[in-house]
Amino acid sequence: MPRQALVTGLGFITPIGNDRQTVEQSLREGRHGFTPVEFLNNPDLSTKVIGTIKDFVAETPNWRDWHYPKKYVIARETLRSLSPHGLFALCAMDQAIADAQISSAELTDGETGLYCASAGSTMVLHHHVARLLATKGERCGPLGVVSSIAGTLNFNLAAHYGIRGAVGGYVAACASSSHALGCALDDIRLGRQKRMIVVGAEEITPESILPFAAMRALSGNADPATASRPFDQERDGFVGAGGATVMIIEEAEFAQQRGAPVYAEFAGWGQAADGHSVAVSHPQGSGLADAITRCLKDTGLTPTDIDYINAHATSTPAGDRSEAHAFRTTFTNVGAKPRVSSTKGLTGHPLSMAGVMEAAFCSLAIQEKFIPGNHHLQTPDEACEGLDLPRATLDEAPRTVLSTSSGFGGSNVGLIFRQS
Amino acid sequence: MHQRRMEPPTASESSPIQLSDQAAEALAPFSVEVREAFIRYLSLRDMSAADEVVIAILKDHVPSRKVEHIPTNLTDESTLMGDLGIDSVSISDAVFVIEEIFDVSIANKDLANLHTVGDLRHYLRGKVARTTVS
Repeated sequence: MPRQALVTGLGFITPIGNDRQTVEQSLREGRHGFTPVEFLNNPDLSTKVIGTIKDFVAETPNWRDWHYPKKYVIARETLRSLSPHGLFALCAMDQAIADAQISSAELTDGETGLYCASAGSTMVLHHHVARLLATKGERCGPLGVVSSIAGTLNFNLAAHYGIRGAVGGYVAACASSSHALGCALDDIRLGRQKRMIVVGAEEITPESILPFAAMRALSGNADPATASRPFDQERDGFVGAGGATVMIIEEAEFAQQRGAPVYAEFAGWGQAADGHSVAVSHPQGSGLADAITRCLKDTGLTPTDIDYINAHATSTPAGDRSEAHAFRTTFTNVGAKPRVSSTKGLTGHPLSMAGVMEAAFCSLAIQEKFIPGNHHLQTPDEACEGLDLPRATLDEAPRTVLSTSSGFGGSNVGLIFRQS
Repeated sequence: MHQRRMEPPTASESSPIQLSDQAAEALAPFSVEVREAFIRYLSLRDMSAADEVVIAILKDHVPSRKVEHIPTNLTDESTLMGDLGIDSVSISDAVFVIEEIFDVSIANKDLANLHTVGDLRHYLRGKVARTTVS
């Protein structure tokens, strides 16, 4: 029998909660994590709302300015090479390791790997490059590279926790941490690792979020209650967000032998690309439809086996329409009608972190027996015709759940979790 | 929110000596005593004051687990890696802070020969003496 993988630990630093219980409560009650913002003290900017991390202040490149809950004890030599999203990731990883009931010694035996995803820290990189240019290349903070470039999460976390298995990073924009999860599952199936830790994190700074305003991808809606409304006719762009989410998956026999707590089985994955545009999804969602089909095939399931889809849908006009078409192609057209929702209506869009955050939501939903709703959805786009889009969270126990992700360049990923 | 904070050293505010922006930023995390020591070095070329600043920078780079185990008064013989537990990356960072504050450049070939507190202290004395002459 091929090796199976189980989800055994989760850690959350998200706009809707910094622990599992708060996240679940927010998903059940439809509590969003948005806060009004005036980036760069400029009231003329159209970006008025972001998904914020509560109880943390980490908005400058200097770790000495940061504040975070006292329960996280972090040495200064560790903080020195982190960027703000590295701080979020380290705190989420501490949570996930405790949640999975793993000792620090177990992490260092080479059987545990670590895959991470983030865009790096544009703010910290800019800070160091500005000094470099001001000194005509003569001077730059020596920790500038490891604290800021894409890869900073795996550099720091692998060193901090003493991880000696497979360590690396994934860069596919908003599909990044879903790729990381899929490849982590492959490592377990191939017997290369017993345990994989997958981390997604992003920071919430003008440098990380405003470039998307330049692409006309962000909502200009100033009302936190309606700015992010995936699948709605009136949606006008995504709401930027950040934080960190960590998921620990373990080979099933290994997990069972040690009596690990189990959320769900991570049953399969698939990916496919649009081959269409650098930034815009294929209008008919062809790459995503292919990714879902491959994911179902990998898992040995049919469309009617899926009870719930946690959609990537970010609240952009083109992206949500494309995704709705992909769901109609793969589900509606073959007589399957799973529940569909996008939890980005509550969280906003945390970019590279979205995949693992939503995979973690799916694992929670399976364990705690609920289906998150589309809390800000009022009038669905006509492209959603035939899709079952519950508004409120349902007290229904989903057995099999699909989570989708799409990133720039038309990268698409599907992940399937089911009751173990 | 989203305003960048930069605290200037208070010592410079009451002093006629004007710190460079990079020295002010690099000194910001240190105590008033350390900042005043740097002003004393700048205004009087008091090299023992420069030593105080260097020692403070080194202590700031000692790993948390070692902080309680190092003597309050470091000797010239204390080794940076062995006695203070500062790894090579952190030594690079400490040296960067020294470069920013004292506005000197420390070459790789020189850095390779700086193993102890005394090495660094004497090297910096030579370096700033040359800078002053030029």
